[in-house]
Amino acid sequence: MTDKSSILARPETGGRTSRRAVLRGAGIVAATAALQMPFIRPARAARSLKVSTFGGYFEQCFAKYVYPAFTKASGIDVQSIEQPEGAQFLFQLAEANKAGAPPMDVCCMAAVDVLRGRAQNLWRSFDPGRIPNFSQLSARFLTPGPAFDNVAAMSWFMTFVVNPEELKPLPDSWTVLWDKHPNAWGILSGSSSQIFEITAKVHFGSIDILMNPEGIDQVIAKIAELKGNVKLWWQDEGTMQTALINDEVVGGTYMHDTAMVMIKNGTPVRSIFPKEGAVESTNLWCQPTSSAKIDEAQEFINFSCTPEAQQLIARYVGSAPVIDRAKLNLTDQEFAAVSSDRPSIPAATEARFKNTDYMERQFIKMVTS
Amino acid sequence: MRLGLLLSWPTVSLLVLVTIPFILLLRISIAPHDQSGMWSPGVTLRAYGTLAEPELLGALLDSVELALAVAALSLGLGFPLTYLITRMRRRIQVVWLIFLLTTLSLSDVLIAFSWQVMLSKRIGLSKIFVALGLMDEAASLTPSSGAVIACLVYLVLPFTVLTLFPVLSRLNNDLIEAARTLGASPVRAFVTVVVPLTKRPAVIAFVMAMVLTVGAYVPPLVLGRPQHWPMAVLIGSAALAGHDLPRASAMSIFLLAATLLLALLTARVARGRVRP
Amino acid sequence: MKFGLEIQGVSKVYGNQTVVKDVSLTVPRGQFVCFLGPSGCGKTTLMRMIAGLETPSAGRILMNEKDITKTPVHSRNFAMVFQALALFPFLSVEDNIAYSLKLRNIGPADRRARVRELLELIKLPDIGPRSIDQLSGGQRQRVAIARALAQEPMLFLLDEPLSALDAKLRDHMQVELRQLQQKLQVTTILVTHDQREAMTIADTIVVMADGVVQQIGPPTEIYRKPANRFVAAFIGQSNLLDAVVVDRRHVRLGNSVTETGAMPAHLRDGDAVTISVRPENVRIVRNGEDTANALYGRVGFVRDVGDHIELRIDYQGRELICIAAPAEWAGIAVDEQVAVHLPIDACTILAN
Repeated sequence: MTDKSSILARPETGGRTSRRAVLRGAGIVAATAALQMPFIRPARAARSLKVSTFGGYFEQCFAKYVYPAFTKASGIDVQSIEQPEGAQFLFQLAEANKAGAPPMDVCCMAAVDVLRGRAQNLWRSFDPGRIPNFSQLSARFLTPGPAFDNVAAMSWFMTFVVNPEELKPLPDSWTVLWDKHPNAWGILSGSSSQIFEITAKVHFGSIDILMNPEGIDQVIAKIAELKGNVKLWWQDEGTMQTALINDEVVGGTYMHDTAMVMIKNGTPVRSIFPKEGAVESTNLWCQPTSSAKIDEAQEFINFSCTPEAQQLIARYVGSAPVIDRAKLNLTDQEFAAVSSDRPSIPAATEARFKNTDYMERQFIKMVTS
Repeated sequence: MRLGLLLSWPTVSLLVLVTIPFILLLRISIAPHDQSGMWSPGVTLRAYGTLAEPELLGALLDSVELALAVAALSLGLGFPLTYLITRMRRRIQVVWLIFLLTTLSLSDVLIAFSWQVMLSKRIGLSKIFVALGLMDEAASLTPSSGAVIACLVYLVLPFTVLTLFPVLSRLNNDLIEAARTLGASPVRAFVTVVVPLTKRPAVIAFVMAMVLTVGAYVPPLVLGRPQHWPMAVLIGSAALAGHDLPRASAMSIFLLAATLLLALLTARVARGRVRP
Repeated sequence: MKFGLEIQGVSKVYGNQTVVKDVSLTVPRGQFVCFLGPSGCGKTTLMRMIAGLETPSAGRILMNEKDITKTPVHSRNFAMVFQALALFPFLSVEDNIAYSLKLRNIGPADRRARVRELLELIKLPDIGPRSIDQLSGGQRQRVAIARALAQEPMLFLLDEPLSALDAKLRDHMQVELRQLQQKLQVTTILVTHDQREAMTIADTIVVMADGVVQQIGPPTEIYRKPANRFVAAFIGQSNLLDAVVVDRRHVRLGNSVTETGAMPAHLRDGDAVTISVRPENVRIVRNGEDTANALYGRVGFVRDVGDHIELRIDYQGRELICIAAPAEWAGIAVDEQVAVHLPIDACTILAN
């Protein structure tokens, strides 16, 4: 892709996404280009499948470690496709699907985009009988909605990342964000920010308050109390990473896995799962209705639900597994690099699907005033 | 004959590259909002109804202020710089131009990040300022309007120089020498001869710097305070995070109109001011 | 020379090319001096050094005994009229003329008065409000002169300002310029490659070639007593005849020995020299009328241009040009044998 996305989808972090507003405005052209690329590549084997994941390091890791294991087990060749981030992608995918030429057979979607796609009848329903391993997933991933058009692929956590040299004692609760720490935090800005979930859970007991505009107003009013403490309302992880590395902020909300990579590279930060829980977002496998590879897609998704696949994803892709830890052979260190045993706050997917524009507008109004 | 002219290559490219996207923008701005897609068929003025909000007017004002500041600084720096370059030896001129062209190849994202690092407390410019006695202690210089302006001037300056270069390098040296023999110091000769001779390209460079700044998205986002986020950032927010393409389109048209007005106003003001 | 411009050993080198070589000369106050020479002779560079637009590589320039070699252009108060005139296209005529006055912080009323005075001086009292592109070539010329004179310069420099004008207008402007200079008594230097122009205008002509001054003197002296072959050939028409010194009073021209004027002291018997004689000074004697000092030749070509007749005479393979009034030469024809007489005081002996 272009320079823009490659800078922003920091290789070490694995570009997860759509959750993160990765300077999306700049990436539109890049997105278009990337989406068209797959049409050129010919399929190689008799049984094959085109799978797309978010581009960059993320896609490379899937292609290098996860797909070969699947091909070995099933004989189905996987063609790996880079999937761009942002709002454009879903729009273009819907157009391509209408034209009967989806650029992939299986794609990896952010939860809110699964709902957006569903509203346009973009996804094929799977046959539960063909995905027997589905039941292996952790309990919270066993309710894929009425249509069974998505299956959890992997998760990631938004944690409380702090510089331990500048904040003692280390916080164990999100409430520390609201204590007196002027100009200390860097917090994700905009409607996709997990600060909505954190504030809802910590101050209003549950994310359900985000389901209606009045509740959103209340939550935003509470977020507004953070303004004096927030130095950086970041929109892409690179900005926050730079700020952490250069001591520009004491801490804030940040991705757990990226923070772990930063620690490995010598940056003095800690990634803390507060007692109220880190915010967990999940990416899901979906199949566009116009894809003809029904059997192959289900075989692939079934494979993804095995402990074997989830271990590979945890070790090599750097994402949290969607199977309970007890079923996995991850070491403590491997598990801690991507997840935690503490309960998590779920992402407010439904609320965001319903109210994104309102959340965005009110948030911007609050933050710019 | 007339048809041939109408279908000429410039007309076609204008149509394809400018008119059609603009018509699309207009069309989407009057479309109803669709939560799952981007917009849906139908006609409504809802998006325009959302424009009259104080934070949007504030952002527009921020856009204008930013554009004027960046354009003024770019011209103020770029003009003398270009003038000096054109007075250098040919070889050195080429080196300068290549250097400036090279900076154009850097992405604005990369540049914004570099400024973020440069202005940080830990390794930034503030250390140099402290060493020079300009500051008491190292401090973080972002987020701030100054950081945004500095970064944007860096981005826009090559355009300013490259716009002015052809004019300044063809500048009739006789006129400057004539002014000198008539008693003008180099600075006076510059102000009384070079400036009026190059007013037009200077206005063009100024307007271009303004337009480039109005469209800037990444630098204010990364380096600026949310209170001073310009329209471009808010449009990005509405389109990409808010999934409200009609509203983003209406905001774009609003910004486009404001930019056009600003450019015309600038040209008008420049025309009014003549004679050294 | 107490007042005026003095140039002492000035040279200008660009890279490995010496454009002006060790020039020394003085321009007395109130004089009109022409730098004359073919293009590339260094005359413009010398003028630009005087103006301060170029820095000499060696030597000094003094004005009224003050060294101004390092004085910046704008502090010299030397006005210059450029070849391309360099009028400011963005200013009206009066603003062009008032430019130097404005720089000197002269008030608007005085400025207006001085501009009016200058417009009267150049005989264009009504063009003040016009823009430059509304002017004819001659008008621009005058405006450029007026602009330069507005500051009452200590030295008035003109770099071939008339070369763009047509012949008639140029003649007219030459006279006008000379009158203007005499009226204002301003020390003036004019650079030109047109020897006629220099002869018309100048008190003193400085002839230059290859960066070196060839001769300095009043027009008549330059014309009548050229210092060397170059000057003789460049200024007007001249017969240049190869000869050999026989003794202090005679030279050999081909087969004949002829008497000449004073022999320069450094010449020895047997030295090769060049005899320079102007065509109008050559006398021709017809019909065997015997004369002392005669050379016998054949008429090769006759050109009757009305006010005079030009003859080309073949003398032992050399061509001699002579000019005379038509009345004297009526009926002369090609192939006629004639005796040519070179008056002693009209011959200049030039060392080779």
